[in-house]
Amino acid sequence: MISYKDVFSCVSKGLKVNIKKITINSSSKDFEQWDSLGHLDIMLNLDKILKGKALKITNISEAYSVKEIVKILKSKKLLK
Amino acid sequence: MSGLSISNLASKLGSIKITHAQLKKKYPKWDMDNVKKKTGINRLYIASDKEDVFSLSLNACKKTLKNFNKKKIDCIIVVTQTAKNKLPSVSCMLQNELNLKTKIIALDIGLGCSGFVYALATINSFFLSNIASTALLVCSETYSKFLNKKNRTCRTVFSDAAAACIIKKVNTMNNINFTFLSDGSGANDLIEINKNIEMKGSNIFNFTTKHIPILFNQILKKNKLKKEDIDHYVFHQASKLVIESLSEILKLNKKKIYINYDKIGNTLSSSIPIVLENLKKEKKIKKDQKVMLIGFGVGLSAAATIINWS
Repeated sequence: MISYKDVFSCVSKGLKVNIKKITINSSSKDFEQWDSLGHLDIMLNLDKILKGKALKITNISEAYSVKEIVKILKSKKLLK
Repeated sequence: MSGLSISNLASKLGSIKITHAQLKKKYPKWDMDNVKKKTGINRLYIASDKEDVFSLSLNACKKTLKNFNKKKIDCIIVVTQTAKNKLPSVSCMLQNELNLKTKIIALDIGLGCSGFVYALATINSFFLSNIASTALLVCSETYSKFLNKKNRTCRTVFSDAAAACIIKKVNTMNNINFTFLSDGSGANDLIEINKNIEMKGSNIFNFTTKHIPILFNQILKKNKLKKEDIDHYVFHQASKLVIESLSEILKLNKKKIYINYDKIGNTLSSSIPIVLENLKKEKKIKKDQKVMLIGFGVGLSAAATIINWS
């Protein structure tokens, strides 16, 4: 299981922005670089820390906000 | 039994060459080094204002027909989704421009990266029903005509190109097999809206890594083959991330996977025939070798086959 901080870290690394700029309310509307390529980076980062479990979740590729990512990971019991 | 042979492979890339460094300079806000890490693409080829699907196709076809008796051609199929005009079909325009006979099957197939394999299956069914024996197959796309300036996802991946080849009916020990997959629930993952193509890369990545291994095993089973029996795995040249992930999931011998996305980008429906053209030119493909072709992409759609190279 990972923490909220891990999720924020995956998003910030994926988008190449300071982690301080990432909040639970952050979404693709807030960052120009959160496009399809940026999202793929976030997914790959999550997949890495979840040891291959993230990319197997079908609807996570549609989750273009931190809230949505958190909701999906919680439903799969992958987030504390 | 009836099979098919692929010959006279030729292609035409868009005439504007764009290097990784040029993209970096043009779009300083785009993290091109990170993009390159995922795509593996060093160069793209974009159609000029004067070029379009028809002109690129015509150029590739002329090379294909250079040493071929075009009177023999009784079928022409063009795979495209980005023709300049919605009508008439590019295949009819090419029939006229290439002076092919009028007693000919001419049709366009509206598919993308899976289109080459679908077209082979269509041609094969014409062969089996004895309504054609020699086909001119053309794949051509110019996505760049449908991309806005801010479209980082597509502008860093797709090249414009056309590829052409001759498909002939041959007598074989076994019929050629195909497997197909179509999932329109992913229609929005690669879609043209108001003349701008939008792609949700992560959705397509998920589709590919989930479904292509299934298709891969299905086509092996249909042919009663093991993956070790295949001499060349020819995947649609989507990107480094996609090809490497498939190779890892399927535990493939990397020496059997030819790549050219690094040199020419993702050329959509043309990518499989261009790989075959490269393999042939580099004398890496030999008679009787088994070649697996797998195309996947817009639709979402995928198809696979295994051919005996002849």
